[in-house]
Amino acid sequence: MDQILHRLGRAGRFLWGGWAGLAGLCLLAALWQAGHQAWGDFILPAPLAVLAAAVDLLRDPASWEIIGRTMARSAGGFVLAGAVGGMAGLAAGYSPATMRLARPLLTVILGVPPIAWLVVAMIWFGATDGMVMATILVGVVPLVFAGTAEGVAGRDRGLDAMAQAFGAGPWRRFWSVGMRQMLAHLFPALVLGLATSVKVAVMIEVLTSVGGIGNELARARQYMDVTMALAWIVIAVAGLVALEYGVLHPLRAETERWREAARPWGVKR
Amino acid sequence: MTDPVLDFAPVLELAHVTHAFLGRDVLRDISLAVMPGEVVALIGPSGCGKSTLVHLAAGLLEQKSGRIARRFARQAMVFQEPRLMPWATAEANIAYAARLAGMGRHAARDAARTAAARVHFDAADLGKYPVELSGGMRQRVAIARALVVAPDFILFDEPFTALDAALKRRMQDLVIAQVAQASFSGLFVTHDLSEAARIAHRVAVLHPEGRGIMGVRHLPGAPGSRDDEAVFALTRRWQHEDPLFRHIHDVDERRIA
Ligand SMILES: Nc1ncnc2c1ncn2[C@@H]1O[C@H](COP(=O)(O)OP(=O)(O)OP(=O)(O)O)[C@@H](O)[C@H]1O
Ligand SMILES: [Mg+2]
Repeated sequence: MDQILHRLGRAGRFLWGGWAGLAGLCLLAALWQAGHQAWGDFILPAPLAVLAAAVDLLRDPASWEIIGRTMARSAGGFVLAGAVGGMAGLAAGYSPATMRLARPLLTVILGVPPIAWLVVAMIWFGATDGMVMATILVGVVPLVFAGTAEGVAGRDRGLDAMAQAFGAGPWRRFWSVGMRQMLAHLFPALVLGLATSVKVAVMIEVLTSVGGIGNELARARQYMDVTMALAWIVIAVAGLVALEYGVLHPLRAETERWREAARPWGVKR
Repeated sequence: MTDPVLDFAPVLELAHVTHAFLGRDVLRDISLAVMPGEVVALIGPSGCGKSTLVHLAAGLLEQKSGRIARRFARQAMVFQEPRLMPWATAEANIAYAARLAGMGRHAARDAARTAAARVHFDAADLGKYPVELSGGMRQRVAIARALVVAPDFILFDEPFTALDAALKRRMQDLVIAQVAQASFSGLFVTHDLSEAARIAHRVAVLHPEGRGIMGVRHLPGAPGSRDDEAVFALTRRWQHEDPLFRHIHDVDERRIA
């Protein structure tokens, strides 16, 4: 019962925090409206008109298919990147030699813009989902890798020793002590990685003809239809926000309840 | 303890143990034994390698040379710092050790509550996270975590330093009572001569630079039998008459006479 109340309380605080977010959005809408009035309908349509267009799009089942395609690609790429980056990060975190090898590699990979990888991936895979995922992988794996490796390498070794003193073997130590500390570093990387996945997917769709939201954006560009383009952008961003706040943040809140307790009274968000 | 022969073998035995951190010898030629049902207090000035010795004894560090024999079934340890998992409540921290010892979830939770009560940790605070606890409360959680697994050997590394005088005394009494029931033996690092005089069967003094155990003193009578006067007399004699304790007197400002 207490648990449920506690959880409700947290959900309430979370929703309350939503008001601040809403205020920020309203500010953005106000600026947008001002721009609309200064430059006219052709350059910048009114926010309400864009919203209406977006809602119209969402009424059409065909749009959902398009959204689904983009989201499936980004989710697929993201999950794959999470798995690969997580594994590699674990290895590097636990073995300093691997870390030293991986560092320069990471610098090189991060230095190459995703668009360059896209060209190579297109040659290798053609215009397929595989190409999209490969490009996402290259963009997101280093993020997850760095987060994981840092989380593991920066763990409190005192806790490891504590677990060992009470008879925990290496696996048990990892599951009960190492993992929890790693997650704290991993979550910000995951949030960033998810956003990157969606952005890269949309970008590829704009540049190639593999369907999805990006494809609709490209079409809107052809017809010089700014309203349509903005409507799709709004939908893409809304999808990302929904994923982040619907999945990642509640997961994080569940594992980081103690941080809430650590916050001084009155600063709770 | 069922085997009468084992009763004469030390439960913990270090023979000519040496340890180095990054090439610098911290401990050299350490020989020390703890007999069944015995508490050995280990004292020495700050930085002389007491914690290192305890970590070696617990198997958390690998000695450079020498031999360490451990003849106990289950060890527990109270570290110099509480070393609690910040993401787990006090109860979960205590239960963690019980789970590692093979208890089921419910049994571990019940054992954790019992252990918390034994160290006078308020049941109302069991749901709090370590950040919400005071230093002394954290240390008591760490002590409860060591007691919860029903160990037959405990390594204490200055466990009661963060506690006030009254609590410290109660914790000492707890250790004395447990040892009297022959439930465990232990190695007990302390800075506090009177603490050593209260709870130990023997006191070992570590060389100020870790070059061996300088000497060992047997204390008269069983630990529980010494009253305050006897403890005071013992510490007085150590400080004023016993050359073994001279360095402690000189170097260690934290000594509590
Ligand atoms: N992980 C480490 N790496 C390098 N040197 C270390 C490490 N741990 C301890 N030392 C060194 O080993 C020596 C002994 O340290 P130790 O912690 O064992 O002292 P101690 O007797 O427990 O001191 P105190 O009473 O202050 O707790 C110190 O000089 C310290 O600098
Ligand atoms: Mg120490």
